[in-house]
Amino acid sequence: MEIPVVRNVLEANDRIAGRLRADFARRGTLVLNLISSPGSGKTSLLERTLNDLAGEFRMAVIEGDLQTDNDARRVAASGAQAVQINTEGGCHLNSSMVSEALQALDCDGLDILFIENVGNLVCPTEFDCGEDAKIALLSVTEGDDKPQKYPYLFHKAKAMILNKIDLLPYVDFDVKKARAHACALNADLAVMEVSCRNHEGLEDWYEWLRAAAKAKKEAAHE
Amino acid sequence: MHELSLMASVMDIAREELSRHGAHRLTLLRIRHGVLDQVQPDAMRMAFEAMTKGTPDEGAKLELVEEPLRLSCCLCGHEFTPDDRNALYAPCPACGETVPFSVIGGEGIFLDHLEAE
Repeated sequence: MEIPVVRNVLEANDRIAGRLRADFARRGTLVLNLISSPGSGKTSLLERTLNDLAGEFRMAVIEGDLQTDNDARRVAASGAQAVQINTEGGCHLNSSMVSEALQALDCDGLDILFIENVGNLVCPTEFDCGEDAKIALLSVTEGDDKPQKYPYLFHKAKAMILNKIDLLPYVDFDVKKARAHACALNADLAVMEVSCRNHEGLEDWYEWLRAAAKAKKEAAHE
Repeated sequence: MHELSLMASVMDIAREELSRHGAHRLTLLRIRHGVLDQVQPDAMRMAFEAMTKGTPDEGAKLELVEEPLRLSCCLCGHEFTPDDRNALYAPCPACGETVPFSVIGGEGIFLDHLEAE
C-alpha cells in the first residue's frame, strides 16, 4: 500500500516551539537562541550582558550543556535567574527541553530570555526552541571560513556576533571575507564585532538588544 | 549528530500514518532533505536500522533524496541552482552584481512517501 504524505519531520518540535513563541509574544519577552562552536564565548557574552544591563532589563538564561553546570554557575553569579539543561551528550537543545526548563524559571515580567545552546554549529540550527532570533556567535580564533562551512546557521540567524576581536592582530582572520560569506544567504543579517575581554563593541550589541526588546514589548501591547 | 533525533521524529510520524491507514508493516520510507540542513545519509541509515531492528519494520527500505540549493538574486530576481558552494559568493550569473541571494529551495526535512502492508 502506498501512503501519500508530505510531513515536516520536525513538526512535533515545531508545534511545541510555536506554543512557547505564542506564550512569550503575550508576555512581551524577547527570546534569543545563542548558537556557536564550543569556546567562542557564549557564556562570556552572557556574563558581560547580564552584568552591564542588570539595571535595564530583567533577564534569565537557559543553559544547555553536555555534562556540567559550570556555565550556569558563571551566569548565575550576575544575579540573573539561570537554569541548567544537561543534555547528557545530546548535541542540541529542542523545544521540549526548553519548555521543561521554563518550569524552573519565574517568567513574570521577564524582558529577555537567553537560551545558550550546546556548542555546535550544525544541529542546534535545526531545532526551533520558540526563539525570536538565533544569534550566531563566531570568534576570530576559529577561522574565517566558518560561514562557508556552516551556511545554514548564518542563513537562519538574525545577528552574527564576531567575538575576540582584540586578538585580530595575532590571527589570520579576514573579517571582510567572514562578513561577506555570512551575509551571502542573509541580506538582513546584523553583524557586530566585539571583544568580551576588553568590552570593545559591546555597546553595539546592547543597542541591538534594546531595539529588539522594545519591539517585542510594543508588539505585545498592541 | 542530530540524525538520531531526526529519525526518531520520522518514525513517530511513519507509525502514526501506518496506524491511520490500517497498515502493519513499513516497507519503504522516503525522506527529502535540503542540502543546507547538512543531514548525513550514513548516520540516517544507521539510526533507521537501529530503530527498526527487531520490529515488524525491520528490513524496510530507506530512500534519502537530497534537495539541491535554489537561489534567487536579491537584485534582479534571477533563479538558479548553483553548481558548487563557491557560486554562493560569486556574482549573480544573470546580472553580474555581487549581492546576497534568497534561498528558495534546498532547506527543510520532509517525510514525503511511505509504502506499507
